[in-house]
Amino acid sequence: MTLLIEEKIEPSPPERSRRRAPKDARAPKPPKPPKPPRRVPRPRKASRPLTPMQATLRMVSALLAILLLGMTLYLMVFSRLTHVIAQDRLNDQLREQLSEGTAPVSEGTFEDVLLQDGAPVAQLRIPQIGVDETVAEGTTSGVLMSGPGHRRDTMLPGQFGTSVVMGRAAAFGGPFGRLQELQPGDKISVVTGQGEHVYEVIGVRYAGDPAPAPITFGEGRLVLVTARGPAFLPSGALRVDAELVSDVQAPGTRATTHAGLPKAAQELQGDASHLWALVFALQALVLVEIGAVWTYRNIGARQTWIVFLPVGLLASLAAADQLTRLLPNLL
Amino acid sequence: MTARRLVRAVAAGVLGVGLVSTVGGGLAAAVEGPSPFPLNVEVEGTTATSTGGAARGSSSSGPGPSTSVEDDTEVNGSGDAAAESPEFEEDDTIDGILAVGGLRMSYRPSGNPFAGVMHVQVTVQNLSDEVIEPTVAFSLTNWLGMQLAESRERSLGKLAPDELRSTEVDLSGVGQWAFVAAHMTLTPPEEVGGVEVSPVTRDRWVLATPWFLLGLVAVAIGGVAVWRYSTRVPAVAAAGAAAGATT
Repeated sequence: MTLLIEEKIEPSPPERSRRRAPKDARAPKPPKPPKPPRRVPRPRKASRPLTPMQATLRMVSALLAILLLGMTLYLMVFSRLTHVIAQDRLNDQLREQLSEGTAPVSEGTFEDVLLQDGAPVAQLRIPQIGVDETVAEGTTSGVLMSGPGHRRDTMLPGQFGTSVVMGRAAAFGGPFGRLQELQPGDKISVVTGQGEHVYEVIGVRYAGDPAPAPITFGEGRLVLVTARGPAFLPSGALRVDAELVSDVQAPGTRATTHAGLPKAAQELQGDASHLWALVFALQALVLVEIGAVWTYRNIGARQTWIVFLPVGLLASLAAADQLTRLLPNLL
Repeated sequence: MTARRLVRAVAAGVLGVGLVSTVGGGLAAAVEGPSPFPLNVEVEGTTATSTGGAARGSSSSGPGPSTSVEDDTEVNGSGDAAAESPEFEEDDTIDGILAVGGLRMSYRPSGNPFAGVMHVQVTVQNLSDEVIEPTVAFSLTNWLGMQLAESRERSLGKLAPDELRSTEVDLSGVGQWAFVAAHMTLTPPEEVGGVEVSPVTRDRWVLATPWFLLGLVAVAIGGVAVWRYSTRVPAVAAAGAAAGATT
């Protein structure tokens, strides 16, 4: 009887690396364990049902928060875009009218119709402070959203008499934000339907400061007006007086008198004539919020965000646009 | 269920089209190329020939007087009406004595977080017929009203009639207050040409970037990010160990 002993000989490490097992003989890989979460998830808190008072309070707070967010976004970001788009449009209109010789030189159009608020009347250039803006007719809050505005009861720039142009200091591009940097002797150029007119700055003054001597026969003066104080917190009006140093032009007829100038067109006044639009915008915002709550409860959170974030943003921007008209026009 | 999905799809489509058309229209208006019309006007000799055309003459809308300009200088017609055009009711109009400009300001940050210099400049012109010697005082305050720099007084010297002179000053101590206001008070002689003259003030707010505070905030945010990353590793390891124990 022979005893066969099979001795298992372990290959040395270099030998093991040289010999490779055939592909078929490789053992199947065990399934990978699931990836652990990046963080240990917190247990969900059971939410208590809200009382009707708490639910109403939450809804009102959310509405106010959306409105404030929309207002901030509108004043800081979108108002700039609005101003750029409006200036582009006004500049095109004015160039076209100037080339056709139909640019207004009075309060009426070429067809003898009273100029509408927002119609372009002049191009204002102040190189020292980087101003190159198309001036529109009217000085209400809505008109000044598009750029500087010409006060209706005063002459057009370049003409005999005093011309008043108002502009915003901070919102909607703040075209007159650097007006305070102007010094006596700085030049201002204005192009109207009567040609290019050059003014020289007399000085800067605050409302209530002594004004320069009244103009005499055959002279022209330009008064630029904006808000002073911290941005978005106006503490008063700032005026820059400039005298016409180029040839004086004939004054055009003005239908609006100082007594007939609406309060909304005077400096640092808001415009409440579009209050109805604000009411509609706020109603739309409330409807959007109700729709969002309903969708969240009945359909799902993801769908609510996808649909109601842009809609809510649009509604809040529309409300902010109307609210801005109530704020001082030189803001 | 299918109907509900259909309604949702239609609503989403309408919303999408509305949004795209709104934003697209606005952007198209914004990026539209410049107008082919140049921004200049050729004015030949007289500017008003009263032909009814607005650019070619005075408009005849309303009962205004007809006007004309000959040789660019002589004005006939509604002179008085134009001169009487009202400005601002509360203005106290006096014959010009001094013309004062606004404040030109520039901020120079410093390596010292409590320093920082505000450069302030103002220009004054003597509009009177007399030689006058005004003085100018500058000061700097923060948004709480605290004075940041000592009031600095400068004399403008003797200003001859029609002379225009600038003065400037460096006010230090801006620090990290972000919003600071420079104030200027111009004190003329009490009386010029028999007219009493009161001091004139100018002020201006400027944003002085608080670099040190911003740096601190950046470091704090970075620190929090590093801390969260470092605390994440043991949590993940613990979660992995727990997962291994269950399998």
